[in-house]
Amino acid sequence: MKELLTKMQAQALADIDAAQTKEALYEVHVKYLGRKGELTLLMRGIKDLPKEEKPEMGKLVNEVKVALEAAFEKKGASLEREEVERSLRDSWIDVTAPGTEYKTGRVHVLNQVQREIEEIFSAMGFEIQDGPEVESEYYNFEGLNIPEHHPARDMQDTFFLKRKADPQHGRLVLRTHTSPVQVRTLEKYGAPVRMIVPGRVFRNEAIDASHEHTFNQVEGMMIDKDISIAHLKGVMETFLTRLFRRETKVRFRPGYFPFVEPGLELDMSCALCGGDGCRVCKHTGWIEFMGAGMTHPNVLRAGGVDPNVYQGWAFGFGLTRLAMMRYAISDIRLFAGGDIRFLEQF
Amino acid sequence: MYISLNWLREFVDVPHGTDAQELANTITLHTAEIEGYEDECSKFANMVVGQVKKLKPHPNADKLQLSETDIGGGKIVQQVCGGQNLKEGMKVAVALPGAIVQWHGEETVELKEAKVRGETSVGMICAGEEIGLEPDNREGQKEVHIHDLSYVDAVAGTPLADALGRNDTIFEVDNKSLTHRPDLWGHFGFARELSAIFDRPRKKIDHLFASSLKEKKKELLHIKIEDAEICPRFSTCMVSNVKIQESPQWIKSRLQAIGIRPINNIVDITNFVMVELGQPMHAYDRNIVGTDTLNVRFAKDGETLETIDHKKRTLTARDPVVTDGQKILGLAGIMGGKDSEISDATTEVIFEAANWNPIIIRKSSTHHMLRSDASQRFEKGLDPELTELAIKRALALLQETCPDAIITTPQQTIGDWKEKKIVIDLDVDMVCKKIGIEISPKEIVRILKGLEFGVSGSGKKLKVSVSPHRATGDVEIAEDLIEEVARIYGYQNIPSQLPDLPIHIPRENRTRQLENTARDIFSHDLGMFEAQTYSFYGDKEIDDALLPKELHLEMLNPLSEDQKYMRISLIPTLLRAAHHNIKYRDAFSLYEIGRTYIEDSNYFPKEETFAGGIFIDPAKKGEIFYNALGAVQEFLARFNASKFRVQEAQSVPPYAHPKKCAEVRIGKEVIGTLYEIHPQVLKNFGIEIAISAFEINLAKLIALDSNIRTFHPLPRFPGIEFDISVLVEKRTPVREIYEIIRKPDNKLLQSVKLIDIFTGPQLGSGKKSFTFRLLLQSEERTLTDEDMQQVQERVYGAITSANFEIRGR
Repeated sequence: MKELLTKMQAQALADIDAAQTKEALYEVHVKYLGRKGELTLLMRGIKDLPKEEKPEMGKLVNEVKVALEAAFEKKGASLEREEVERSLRDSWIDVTAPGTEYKTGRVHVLNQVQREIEEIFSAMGFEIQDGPEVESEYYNFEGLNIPEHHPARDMQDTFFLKRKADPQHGRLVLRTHTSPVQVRTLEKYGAPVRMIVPGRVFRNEAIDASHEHTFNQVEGMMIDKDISIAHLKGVMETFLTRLFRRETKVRFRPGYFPFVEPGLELDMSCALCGGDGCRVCKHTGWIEFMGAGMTHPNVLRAGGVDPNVYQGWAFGFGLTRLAMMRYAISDIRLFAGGDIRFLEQF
Repeated sequence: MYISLNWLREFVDVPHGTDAQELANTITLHTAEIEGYEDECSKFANMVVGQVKKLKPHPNADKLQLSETDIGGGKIVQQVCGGQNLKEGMKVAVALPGAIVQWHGEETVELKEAKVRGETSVGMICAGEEIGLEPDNREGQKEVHIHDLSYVDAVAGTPLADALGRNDTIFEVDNKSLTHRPDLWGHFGFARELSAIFDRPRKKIDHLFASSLKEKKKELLHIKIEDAEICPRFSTCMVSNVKIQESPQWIKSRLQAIGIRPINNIVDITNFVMVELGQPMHAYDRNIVGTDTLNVRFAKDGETLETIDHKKRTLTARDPVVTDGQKILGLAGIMGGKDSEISDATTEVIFEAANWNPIIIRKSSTHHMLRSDASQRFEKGLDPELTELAIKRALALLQETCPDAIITTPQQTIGDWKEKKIVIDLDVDMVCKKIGIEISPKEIVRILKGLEFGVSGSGKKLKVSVSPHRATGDVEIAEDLIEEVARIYGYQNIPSQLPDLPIHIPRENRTRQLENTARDIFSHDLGMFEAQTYSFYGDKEIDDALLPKELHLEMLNPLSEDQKYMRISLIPTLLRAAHHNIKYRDAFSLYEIGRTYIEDSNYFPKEETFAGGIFIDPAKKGEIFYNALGAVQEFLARFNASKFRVQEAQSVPPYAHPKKCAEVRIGKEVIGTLYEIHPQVLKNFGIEIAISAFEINLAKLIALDSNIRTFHPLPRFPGIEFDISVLVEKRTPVREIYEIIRKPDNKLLQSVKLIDIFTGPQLGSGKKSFTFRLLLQSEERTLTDEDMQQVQERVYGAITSANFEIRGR
């Protein structure tokens, strides 16, 4: 019987080795270890053996069983690996076919840029303010040191509403700039103040590829006890450098806006060429960016702030124009056109 | 406005050798924006005066000749030329190889030595239009003429720019940047600036104001200012024995160089003085004035005047006029009258140089939509001292063109004007604190004196007196002087510096944050595109959207009829955008977060921020309403407004389908509506597919903002689901059945969801079936079949006792 067992073990190991598939291996398993398997039968035969042989044979058979189970397991694992490898060998996918289409939308490009600007200024401690788009003549002009019949009113062709003038507020207008919020904020919170005002403004001018009657502006203002022109340079360079993610310089030129004195035009080094000169900056290295200046004492007074104690600056730039420059958008009318072929590009 | 460098050099030594670009840049950085410049020398580069020595016919072309031309330096070269007026001995403009010409006045070409029909041509002999001079040839003219240079006093070989006196650099100034600088509306003013910028003294110019014309005193002119506010100062003089003719070439060249067309010697003088000193003038024909009277007053309503632009104008009581005591001669400070214009027959001239009230001029010129070179200057508020200088300068110039003219009435000046003494206290520390850099008192004094301010005082406390040319409203307070110091000192010299302030957290703008959150939800979660549309629309949109006109704020001066009313809803402009996009795609949704403007009893109209959205999806036949509903539900859930309720709308917007419209309430407040667009409105907008829309009052929603979320523990035990189908009438709302299912007190019932609506012939007509899926769950134990049966029985009982049939039970 011992001999038989040894032979069977050798045969079983050979059969395991010869099995090529998991199914064949299973067959071998049944043949030896199944309910009617050869080894199983043999094990059952042990009880018929003489008493003294039982323990030894029992131990031997069990050893063979353990050895066979181990061999099955090993072979099984190896067959599984082969199977995976075979399936990998046969696999292929067309990576050039289009991906699953997901329906996604977009935030309007102006609001994307606006949010970026809000985040940068917020990080510098500026608050975000807002005011009405239908504004009074007082806040839009007089409060900003632009009396009636001042030639500066020409710079901002104004939409008026059909409404009787109010003795205190004057006529109703569509705000021509975000600057009215300067006086409104000073009235509300006083000084010191650091704020920006992104918002929609209106000018009564005919539209073409580079002119719109409706566009977005960002106003800014910083008032404290010793805020200077040098600080305006510093804050704007910091802002623009972050916005364009490249070192950006600014330069000032004299400019005229009745609500600031001194009045400044601010140019920034060209975001495209970095100031070396290119088509965008007309080979000057500079791009006209915004109007600014030291807040006029009359504006501080209109906001109830004492100009002998507080000083500071204000600025205003075109958010729409900034977006046009950043994304090389050639037609300003696209912003309000609602054409998804435009909106989905950002 | 154009400024000539040569002209500036009459008044100040602009350093020679500074290139035009650099000079333009310097003026831009210190004074006013130079928009561009033209360097005449470079325009006439490689062009010389030539003299035709010998002419012979071209052997191969009938209409061409060969000219042997002296181009100076002993050189004779040959050109092929088609000019019919070419003669031997004639002086001509020769463009040599390298010159840039406008070929036949059109195409820009750089010349090279070439052969024309087999004959060498060294450059070309030019017609005026080919080199930017007055044209010699007009369209359709048969013979070709070249430019006859006989009028120049220059020998062959002289560079053309020198021969023509066109060696100037012309700067174009951005007028807007001169709004506050009336003193800069002439060359003299710019010369003052350059003197300060370059720190060079101005030249002596007394001789420019001296004339030795004969005087033969006659009677005085009768000048009267009836309405004193119109005219603070009025200067005149009268001359006779004037001959109207062309101005001398140098005057014409000066004017042409800065874009002013020469007319005749008298008109040219008035223009010359204007662009030199900045003081506009007027010249009247004395014979037409007749009465020797000049009277300044407001017009009477209904009076008329034909101005020299040939327009008949009806005047109002706010228009300032000059009359001769009887008839109106001109619109004061704006434009002269056609009738008193200088003509060839004029022999006696009255010169006027007046200072007009800027506001009156501005109102009148705005009213008549008439902006002239004069009104543009007067409305800025000119220095009244200029009037007398202008008359003097005019007489000096008259001497050049009419040496025999006789002054019959010497200068007379009237008016209320008195020199305003402005003295400003200037604290050097304040100057430095505002600019943000230390500038020494000495430097500040130097700059201010350079700009012709008077400076006294010592140490850091200065007293600055403002000279009349800057006392026109521009310089009144210390800040104005700080600007003067800063710009001449140079903004480029101010360092870039960040403020040294304590940490501070800005006031929160919750509305803006929530608007941005809303955008994220609509665009990124719901796949909608954000549009921005105009804040106004026209009668057509109001009619098309069936809106009432009353609530609309109307514009007084709209750009066009279709932009007349402030929007009271975002939907009309969104529909217009939808109509546009339908051409390009089948299914899409757009939204806008923007304001509406509603007429209100208060002075300020009611401005509210709304989110409006529209949905188009051809696959959703008849069910597009649910796109809007799903979006609103998802939005409100994400926006954390959990306790909202959708119900049939109590008030339906006019552009909404009256039967397919719901409102969303939070508590008692209606915060939004959603609906299909009214089929008539769709037709009116030219849209052939159903659209659903929502409008959410973001302002109200934001006011209800709670921002509190509570965590619900995850279930510890598995739940059991079962479905119930209920047969109902076609118009039974889901909520009715939903509430019946919910009615019995079932602690285990976690959720009830509608998973299917089915209609089919087997149900019978007018019927449909809802299938709900119910989830049972306990927080304490695993549920048994018995639990489920108990709940089922209670739910079945509730449904049947409400007289609904349960299907497939």
